[in-house]
Amino acid sequence: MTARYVAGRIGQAVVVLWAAYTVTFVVLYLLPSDPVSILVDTAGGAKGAASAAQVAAIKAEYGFDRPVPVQYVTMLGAALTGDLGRSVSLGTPVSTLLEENLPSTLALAVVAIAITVVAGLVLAFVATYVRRPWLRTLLERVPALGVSFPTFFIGLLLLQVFSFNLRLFPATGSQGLSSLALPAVTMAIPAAGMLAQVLVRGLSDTLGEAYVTTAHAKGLHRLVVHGKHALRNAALPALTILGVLVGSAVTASIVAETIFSRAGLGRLTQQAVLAQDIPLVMGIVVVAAAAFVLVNLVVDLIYPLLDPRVVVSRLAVRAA
Amino acid sequence: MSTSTLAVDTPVVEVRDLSVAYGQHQAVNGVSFAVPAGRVVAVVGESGSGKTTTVSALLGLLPAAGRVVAGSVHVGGRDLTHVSERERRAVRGRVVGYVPQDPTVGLNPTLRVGEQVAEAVRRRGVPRRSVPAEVLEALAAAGIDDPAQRARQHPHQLSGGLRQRVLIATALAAHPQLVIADEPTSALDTTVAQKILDHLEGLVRTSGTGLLIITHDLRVATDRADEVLVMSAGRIVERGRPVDVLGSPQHPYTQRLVADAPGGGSRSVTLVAPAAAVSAEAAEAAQADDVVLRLEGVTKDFVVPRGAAQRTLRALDDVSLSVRRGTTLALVGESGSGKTTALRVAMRLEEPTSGRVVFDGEDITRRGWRELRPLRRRFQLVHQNPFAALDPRWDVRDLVTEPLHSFGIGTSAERARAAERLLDAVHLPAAFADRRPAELSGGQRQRVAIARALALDPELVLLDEPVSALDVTVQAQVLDLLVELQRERGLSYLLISHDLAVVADTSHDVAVMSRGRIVESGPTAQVFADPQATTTAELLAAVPGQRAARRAGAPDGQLLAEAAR
Amino acid sequence: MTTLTSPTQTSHTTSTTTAAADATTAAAEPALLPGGRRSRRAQLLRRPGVVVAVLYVLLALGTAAVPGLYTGVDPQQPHPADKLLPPGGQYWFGTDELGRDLFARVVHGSALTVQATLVALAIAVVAGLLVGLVSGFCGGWVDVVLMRGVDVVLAIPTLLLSLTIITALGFGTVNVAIAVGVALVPGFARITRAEVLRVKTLPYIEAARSGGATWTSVLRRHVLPNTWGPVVVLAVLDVGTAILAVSSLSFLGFGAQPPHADWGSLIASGRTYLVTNPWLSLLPGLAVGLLVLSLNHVAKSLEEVAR
Repeated sequence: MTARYVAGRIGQAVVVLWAAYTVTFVVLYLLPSDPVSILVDTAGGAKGAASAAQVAAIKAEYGFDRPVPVQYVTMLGAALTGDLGRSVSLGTPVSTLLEENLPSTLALAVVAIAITVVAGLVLAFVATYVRRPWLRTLLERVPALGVSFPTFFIGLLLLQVFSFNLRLFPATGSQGLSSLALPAVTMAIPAAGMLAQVLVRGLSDTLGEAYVTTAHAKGLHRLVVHGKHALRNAALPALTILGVLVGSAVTASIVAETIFSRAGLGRLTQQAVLAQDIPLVMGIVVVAAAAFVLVNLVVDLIYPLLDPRVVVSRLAVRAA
Repeated sequence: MSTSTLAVDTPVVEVRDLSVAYGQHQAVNGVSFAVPAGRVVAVVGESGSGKTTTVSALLGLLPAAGRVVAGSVHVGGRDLTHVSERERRAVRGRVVGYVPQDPTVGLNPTLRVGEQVAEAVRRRGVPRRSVPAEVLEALAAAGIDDPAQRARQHPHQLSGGLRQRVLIATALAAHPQLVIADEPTSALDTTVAQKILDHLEGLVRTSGTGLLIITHDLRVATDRADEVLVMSAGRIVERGRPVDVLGSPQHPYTQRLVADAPGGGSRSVTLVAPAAAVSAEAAEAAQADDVVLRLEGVTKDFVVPRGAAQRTLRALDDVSLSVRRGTTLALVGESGSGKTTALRVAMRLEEPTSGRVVFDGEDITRRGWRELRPLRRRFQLVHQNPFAALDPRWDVRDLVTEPLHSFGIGTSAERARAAERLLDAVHLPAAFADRRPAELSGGQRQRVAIARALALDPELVLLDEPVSALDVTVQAQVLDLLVELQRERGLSYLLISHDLAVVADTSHDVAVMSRGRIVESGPTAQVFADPQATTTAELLAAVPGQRAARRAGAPDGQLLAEAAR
Repeated sequence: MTTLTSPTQTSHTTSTTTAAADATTAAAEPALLPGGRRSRRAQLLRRPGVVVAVLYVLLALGTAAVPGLYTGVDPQQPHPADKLLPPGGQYWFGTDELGRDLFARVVHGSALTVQATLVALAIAVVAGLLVGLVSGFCGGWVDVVLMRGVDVVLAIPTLLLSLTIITALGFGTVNVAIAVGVALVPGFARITRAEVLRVKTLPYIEAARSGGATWTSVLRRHVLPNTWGPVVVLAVLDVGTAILAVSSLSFLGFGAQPPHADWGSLIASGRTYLVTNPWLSLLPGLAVGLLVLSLNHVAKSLEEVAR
């Protein structure tokens, strides 16, 4: 039963990834009235400057002279072998660009997520554990601040305070741990806010459950009831949110890397969209979607370990 | 108010003049009682009577808004009202064990059963190595077979009855001096609840632990307690031995409780006995061959997905029954016996796998919804749960006249007048027409649902556990209403119930179901007086309130048969 | 601490006594919940935080409708003598590097941002409601096809999907609005479907059907009205999300193009002067943050009261 579940989920993930590739293809290559002209403009600089020969060359390179299904199959086939085409604005193969930029964003994402989990968990736990009503209300409001202010505003504020005024961290750059701190915190604040909100709600709901009363009636310490009985159940919905947050790390890094002028996938994305570099955007979306699907796959596989009821019900739902 | 007259030993728990308030609202008012070791005390009251608040105070678990205004709660010699949280915690589990109300939600779904019992075992300071053995012992003592396997399972893998046993094991595992059982039966089937209560009572009596039962059901209380306390509006209005409380209730509230307990007391049976209940005209029409609804050899299979292999579950197996015009046929059985499926097939909400559904001589088995629609006017349904059966956004006027609207009957002014008539028929004031369901009590909602079912002036009404979600006194009122409507309008009822007491009060005929089959059927009085099938006997024995009768020398079912006669 | 007794349960006590005293008429039975929707609204408006939040949201909405009401100053008009002035009496929010009045620019920028948000939301709600209703109500293969489609769109992170659409459509406020709107559709489709499925199985639907009501009338009279609530709450919550998305995209340079400016591009252009003139970025940022905070607060309170 478990092997079936795992295999099923992996199969689903592959299908979703393929479908995401297809949706992106449709949006990027079929939605624009004239993708050729975008590509020509991007490659040739100013509008109208491209010669007829350039247009023909680009058409040939991207296969626009062939029917759409053929284009799609060719590109998908190439993508499966790791060939994501060539960036129009930079002239480099997309896969090379991705390889170069991935490690720095990965490091940033790992640090940011670590901060997110610790901050979100601690905040939610304390906010629901304290007994003074005013303190509780105050702490419960804090996460809302994190999710309400735009990431770029938070980033600029941190930059202003910690780099320019206090001179604690470098304002820009990609070297060393200290350059990671501000972008990582920038990414972590909204994510931690969202995680804490879900956890606070989950904990408040769980604390009203009958089994929590049972646990109290056994004479267990509040900390045990809170941490062992309530948190475990409340963490389940939060785990899903965390999966989404981790999966969206590439997106979150776009703003953070732009503000702190850090090299990475995020900054590459911003430049690619600004240049309307269709092949590069396509490559980035595929990588980001893959990361997203992978993380959610992991979450789905962890879930049954935390919630013994899941495998049974999910299988039942799928079979129905 | 004096302390318990029955306190012979030193009481484990002694509550003196306890008053608890939530803000301005006084939830408990000058309550005093004591539970001696090895004795059983029952507190009876409806929801909101203050009984649950009293329990919270005993456990030192009053919600933040709750405040002890006066009095004291002595548990194991300490007054819990004036000690730190630390000392209150020392009492919980060790001195007072708690069995919560609903076993389906009382256990943590993510922890193994064994661990949850172990938490209580460890409270005794048992050495680490012997904890697992003690857990198994506690589970076995609560009457759980194969405790080693159960301990490794998660709560969702156990039945409701087993979970209740696990909760009892948990409460007893720390060897408390008092066990509080909060509505120990309301979430379980009566036969299961009966066995579990027997077991709990046995454990308590042999170990010398005190037992405090909190219940809304007077019958449960009088069956087991040495002393019964009746609570109403935060006060104890009556106390005494069960025989006295049942036999000569002093307070008007207790008298009403005794009178309203279905089948258990002095409720006027003449109202409902077939000959008197049905008007002369309807009685004449109630010939054996004048059948409104007939199920003929109905079988219903459900396909249960189980991985790749599908399994069929037979919910109904060759079920035949007939409802005579102007009478009530009750379909009884445990949950899962198929009675609700039978009703849904009769209502054509569920397709039978084989067999026929015949309404007033017409075979409606294979009719589509559209072809059936004209006939829908003649048979209507009242749901089990009046809270979910009414659209929360509609007012009562629109709710009761919805069927008229659906069939395009009358102008809106005419429908408004129809609403008034319908409300009047179910004894609701006309002013209620503007209310929404949230502004109604459970009983009022069920009256609205009944009014809606009557809107099209049907001949047959199918009642799916119509009172099981209601308080006892309200149950009695709604049942009276149903009987009255039957008499006035010559209605026929197909009544689904698990409560034989309800059936005894209202039904002319009864069919007993077990595992999808009808195991016994016949006139209610006859079936109850002389049950042939074991299921019937079990159901009869499980009806609370029987033990008090047995003490008086009456055999099982005698009282109910009496009531049905 | 845990609650064995809920406050509603206890407040019920007094009325039970009334019922006990006079049980002969059903009317004497207590109502479980006093008050309906009207008292809910009153309950909301009694919270000072909600009132402040609502006022600020209305203020922001006002700038979108009639920016001229807030300032008579032309946001495009440079004042060469008054470059990079700090906030003060004449220029409430100070001036930018060309000497343009920042307050006027924030007000007019708000108009662009709020309009883009509303367009995005309209797309999301209409498309999401349609997909969700059809999917939940029809069930079967229609449901499977639609929901798999939604799953696929959800597999692409929201902002990235918007960026993809912008790459295809080009830059500008309208395209940003479309991109954000499309990315929000799956959420609405899912919640609508879930609500439809929940409502569909409720006994009152069955009661209506057995009372002879047709499916279309059930859909119109029961399902749709009872599906609205959570969808509206999500819409209010997603106004905040949409504003953040719209301003993030224009911060990255894909929104309003100079000389026009919405909130995101104002903040982006102020970045250059962050060291010397931080208010150029931080004041517009504060305006956005407070608006989203207010919206979230209103949505949360709505949800709390509705529960």
